Amino acid sequence: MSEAGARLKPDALETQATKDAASPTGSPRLGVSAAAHTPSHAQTTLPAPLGARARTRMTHLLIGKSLVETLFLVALAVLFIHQVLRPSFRGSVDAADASGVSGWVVDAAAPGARVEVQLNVDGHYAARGWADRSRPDVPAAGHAEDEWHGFVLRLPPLPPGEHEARVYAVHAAFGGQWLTLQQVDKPLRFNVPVTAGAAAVAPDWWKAVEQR
Amino acid sequence: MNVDATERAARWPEADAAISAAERALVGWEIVSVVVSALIAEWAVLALDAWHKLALVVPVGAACVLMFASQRARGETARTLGLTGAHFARALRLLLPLMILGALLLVLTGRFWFGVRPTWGRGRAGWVVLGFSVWGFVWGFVQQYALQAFINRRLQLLWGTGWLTTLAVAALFALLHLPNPVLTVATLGGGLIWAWVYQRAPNLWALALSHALMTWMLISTLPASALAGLRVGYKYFG
Repeated sequence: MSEAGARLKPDALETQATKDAASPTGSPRLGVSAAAHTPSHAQTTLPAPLGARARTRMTHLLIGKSLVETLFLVALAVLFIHQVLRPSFRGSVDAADASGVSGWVVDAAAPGARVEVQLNVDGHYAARGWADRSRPDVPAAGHAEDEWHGFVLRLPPLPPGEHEARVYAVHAAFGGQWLTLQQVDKPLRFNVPVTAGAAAVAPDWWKAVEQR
Repeated sequence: MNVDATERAARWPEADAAISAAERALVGWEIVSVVVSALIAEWAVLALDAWHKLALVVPVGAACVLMFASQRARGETARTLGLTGAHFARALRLLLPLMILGALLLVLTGRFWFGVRPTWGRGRAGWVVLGFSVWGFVWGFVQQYALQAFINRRLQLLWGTGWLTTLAVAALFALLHLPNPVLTVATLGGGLIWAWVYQRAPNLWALALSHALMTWMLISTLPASALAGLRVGYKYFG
């Protein structure tokens, strides 16, 4: 016999559980209280243990609750991924050189809206702006309803050599509580020629950009 | 009718066997299930914005359905749960010295650990103080209901009354206030007191009153930066 079982004793408490616990063999019902197994100062009256039928019902309820909460968490995860990692951005990074990077971005889920874009060069923040310039080729190709989805982001002075430009669509989710960057198109490599101006730029050019 | 354990085992062996295994597993599952619902609410739903927080109805509703169904199936009454006026005065008598001690501890912690003096609501409008008091009582009651009338009582089925159950109730209460360090420590202490008092004088009204008063003490004596807006779960980080 368990410790818990040993502590429990019958009393006059008549519950659904006690009715359920009545066995077909005529065993007494389990109406129990903890009054005697608790210390003398305690006022707690413990609930009755469940009968077989009630226990089955509770087990079903617990399984059902677990399933509901599991499905709820899955739904929440899908909602979260859909809202935060919005899969509807389409765009292209068409050209990049020492002066700037150009292309277009459309949010297919809101084709009339303008998309904010951020430019990173060599993994560092370089510029930010809106894709709101005229690009007649975008609606012509069926990507948007209007032509105002182009962007041209001016680059800060960069040192000579090869660089990599990545353009990201800036997306605010859940009322702006979450801000994410999603890469548009593939990274584009470009070369900054050796000029007097470029040679004067420090290798850690991004620090000056961050300070601005 | 009083029957000791030996006599009971001799008379009803089937019943005791049933209690020992299946009942224990079920009771443990019930406790874990309610705690998991609270964790889902704190760590998943509260991370969303205001509109999506309506989804709280799912874990909170599921936990409530489970608690009510379990209490109904076990024949627990308003009196045994502590929802009536019974044991109110006794609970207050037990709580009072411990609350005074707790309040003193908070004042001293604020003064010497954080270097601040108690505000006692100074600088706040009267309606803010009143609103917070009412909300504190209601929210305290809801928490005490789940913590004592369900978790404490289910743990008593497993381990009886005593320090093990009291400590487990307090530990679960503290777990639900992670990762806020001040609230985790405060709820561990508060959980110990409230669980101990509930086992001796089960009255949720007295506990809710104590909960509201001690919450007021907490925000009056400790700096806002230490309390992090009383945020818990995922919201603590942002």
